[in-house]
Formats: sequence, structure tokens, C-alpha cells
Amino acid sequence: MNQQNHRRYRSPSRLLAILLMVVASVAVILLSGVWYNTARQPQLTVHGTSTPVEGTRPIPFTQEDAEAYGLEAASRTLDASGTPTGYLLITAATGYRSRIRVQTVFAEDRRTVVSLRVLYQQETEYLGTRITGEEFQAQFAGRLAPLRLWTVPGEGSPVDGLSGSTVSSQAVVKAVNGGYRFLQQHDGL
Amino acid sequence: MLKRALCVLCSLLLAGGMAGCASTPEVRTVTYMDAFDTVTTVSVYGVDESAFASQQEQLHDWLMEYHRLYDIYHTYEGVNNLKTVNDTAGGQPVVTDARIIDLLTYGKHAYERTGGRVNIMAGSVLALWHECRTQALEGGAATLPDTAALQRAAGHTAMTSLSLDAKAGTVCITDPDARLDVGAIAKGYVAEQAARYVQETFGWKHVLLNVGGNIRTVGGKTADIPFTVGIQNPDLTAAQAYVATVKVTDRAVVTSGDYQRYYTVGDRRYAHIIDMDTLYPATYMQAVTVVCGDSAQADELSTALFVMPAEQAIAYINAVPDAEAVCILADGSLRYSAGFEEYL
Repeated sequence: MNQQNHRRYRSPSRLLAILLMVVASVAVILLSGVWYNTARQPQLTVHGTSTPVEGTRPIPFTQEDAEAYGLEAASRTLDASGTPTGYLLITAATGYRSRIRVQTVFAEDRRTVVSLRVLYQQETEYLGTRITGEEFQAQFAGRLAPLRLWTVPGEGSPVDGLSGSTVSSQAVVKAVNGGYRFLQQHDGL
Repeated sequence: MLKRALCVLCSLLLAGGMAGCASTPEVRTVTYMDAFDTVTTVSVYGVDESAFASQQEQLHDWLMEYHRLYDIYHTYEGVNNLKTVNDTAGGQPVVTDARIIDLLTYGKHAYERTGGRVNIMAGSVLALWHECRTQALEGGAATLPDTAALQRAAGHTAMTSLSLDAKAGTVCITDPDARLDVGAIAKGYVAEQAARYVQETFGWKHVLLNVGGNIRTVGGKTADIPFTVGIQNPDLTAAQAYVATVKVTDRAVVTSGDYQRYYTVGDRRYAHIIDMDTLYPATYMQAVTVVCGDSAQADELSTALFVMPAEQAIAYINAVPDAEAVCILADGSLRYSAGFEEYL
């Protein structure tokens, strides 16, 4: 009888302790799951933000600039209110095989590549197919010039590496870096 | 009752904590685009972010030293590199870095091992093809090298014209018309040196090095999880980028293929790996991938196998201890060496 009474009539403090324990346990399990998923997410840092280009304003440059940086055209990019948002440069570089012309939009920080477009190339058939493709060009968005940097690959890639892959983007990199160096050498554009 | 509840709570807390920890370690990756005319990617698992930031800079500087030393197209101030050696052919011995002598020594042995199929003194022949390929790709006429010129050049590819003096630190090409071209072994050799460097200098244990498609893994992703390496599909326009995948730990995976560097004359493709018997690009297969423990050896073997008929290539690799290969034939079918399937 006394035992039954003991089971039936639990003290409020014990009930509260059990309740707190259950809540804390559930919270731990949920938070661990969140932390686990967060830990698995690639910590991809996206530098800069999208730069709206509603208009442009030309940037003057000299023949020396053209030769030193492979520069063919330079503009400030403007938003709808006319506020500068970045830089649009057309640069060219001769790689090991051909001359490549590239249009690069840099953010206000003069380092972040907002977008890249290969305008003209005479690379090899296999490379030409690749560097004018959206996938190749899209990988430059968010990168910091000069183009040698580290990123964390995304999850879900089926392979860790590809043997025999031949992507050689030397000329594209050279062209982008030429534009970067021009921006670094000229303040107050 | 309360004690039991506390035990349960502690167990749950422990379980929750362990669930959060049980994941693949974070990977750090750096891509270099200025070494060896190609893209080099280094992926490391289980390394602290701040340590990696300085290590990858150091690794880049180390790689660029090799890049300058092994460059046969450009010279650099204060450096006697392979171009310097080529430009001095027929003249006095050139004092060079030990890393050049080590590479060329390796090249000499590779020549002997492969029966002359891998020949770092074939530069005069390769240069004729390089010239025609470059001309075609830059919009000029797409032509083949003159046959007589090829045969004349072939007369200047003797390994005996390469004289190495490790003690004096000198290299001499005794034939004024002979030239070095280390393309068949250099990337693999550098990848192997890089694997040693990162282990000895940084203590990295789980690394995937990819020097322009020459892959060398140190360990696996973890002690229990190997790296998964794809083998490039020779059809570069295909939806699937790879024809097969291999799971490797402490292995090199190197591919030679006719899709890597080529140009077209008429409707025919001329690739960059030259069969020194015919002096023309080898056409026995689309590609061959070698898996073995040493990246320099893998590079050497992939070149040697590529210039043989597939059946001969399989017999050849089956006789090499601890090395496997897969050949991709013209029709896309695959031929495996005896033990290759252990990697699939």
C-alpha cells in the first residue's frame, strides 16, 4: 500500500526534475543534429555581393596601361541611381596557345571578381569548348584576384579528383589578373 | 530515481555530442593556376584553417621553384633551368640545381626501363610537332611536320648525348641539335616530390594532389575512407565526366590520352604523345590510366603504355609489381590489367 502510494503520489520537485531532464535531452539531440549538419556544410565564403550594372562610365587609360595590363576597355559600373558599384574591364592575354579576350566585372573592393565572360579565344578545340562554357566561367564569380586562392569544395561531388583532366586556364587567369593589377595601380578611378 | 535520471541525461548528452562529432573532417583546398601551364589543386583533410593559410603559400612557393627549374620555354633571371641547358646544347656543361639533375637521372632510368619509349631527349622531334600544333591552334595553317625534318630530328635523340655530373652539379647536351623535353615525366615527378614535401614539412596525412590531372594521394580522406578518383572520359563533351572511378589510398593515378593536347588536320586528330618508332602520334588507344604507389612511375608508365597496342600494354603492366592500368580503346571499351579491379 505504501509502495503504491509512493508510485502514485510523486513529489512536485521530482516531477519537475524529470520534465527538465526530458526537455534538456530533446534539446541536446536536436542541437547535435543541427551542429552535425552545420559541420558537414562546406564553409564556403562568398566574397562580395552582386554588383548591379545599370550603366557605365568610361575610365581613361594610357597606351602604357594597355600594354602593361593587356587593357582594351575600362569602365566604372553604375547602379540605377548613378552610384558606382564596381569596375568592368576588358583585358586580353596571350596564353601558350592563343590570345584570349575577357570581360571581367570587379566589385568596389577592386579584388572580387563578380563575373567573367570569355569574349574571344582561339584556344584548342577541347579547351575552347570548356572556357566559353557557362560552367567554366561561373566558377570565377566570387573569387578574389589575383587568381590563386583557396576555397572549400561543395559537398556531393562524386569524385575527389579527376585523372587526366586538362583544364588550362592560363590565359584567362592572366587576362583577369592584368585587370586586377591595373586597378591596384590606379587609385581614384 | 534521481540518480537513474541523471545517468540517462548524461548518456544522452554524450550521445548527442558524439553524433555531432562523427563526420568527415573538414577539407582545405587550394588551387594554383600558374604552375606547369596547368591547374594544380591540393586538398587536405584534418588540417587547421589558420595553419593551412600559411602552408599553402609555402607550398606554392615550393612548386613555383620547380616550375621555373623545369620550364623548357622560358628562362628566369639567376636560374639555370632546362631551357638554359637546351640553349647551351653542344657547348659547355651547365651548372644547375640538384633538382634538375635528379629529374634527368630519373629520365635516363625511365628510358632504360621502357625500352626507349619514354625519352626525355626526344625534344627535337617533339618540337616539330609542338610548332605545327601551336601554329594550327593560333589560326595558322594546320599542317603536319615535314617527314624528312622528322627523320633528321630523330637522329638527334640519343640518350647518350645527355651527360650528367652529379658531383660537379652540371648537365651537358653534347649534341648541338639534341633537346630535352621532360613532358613525359615532369608533372608526375613533381607530384611525387610534393607528396613527400607536404608530409615531411607540414605533417599532412590525408592529401589529394592534382597536378594538371596527375593525381597523387597521401593516405585516404581519413584512416578508413579512401579517395575516390574519376578517370576522365576522353569524350570531353559527354555528360559524364568520367568513365570509371577508383578508390585509392596512398596511390598515384595518372592518365595519358589523345584528347589532352591535339590539333586537327583535315578530319584527323593528331595528339601530343609521339611514338618514337613512327615519329607520329600514337593511335593505339584513346587513353590509359595507371595506378601505382609512385607518381613519377605512374607518369612514366602511362606514357610508355600509350605508345603500345592495348594487348601489349596490358601484358607489360602485368609484369610491373604493384602497378595496374586500364586502357580506353578507340571504341570506348576498357581493358584492365590483372589486379585493377581491386580499385573499382
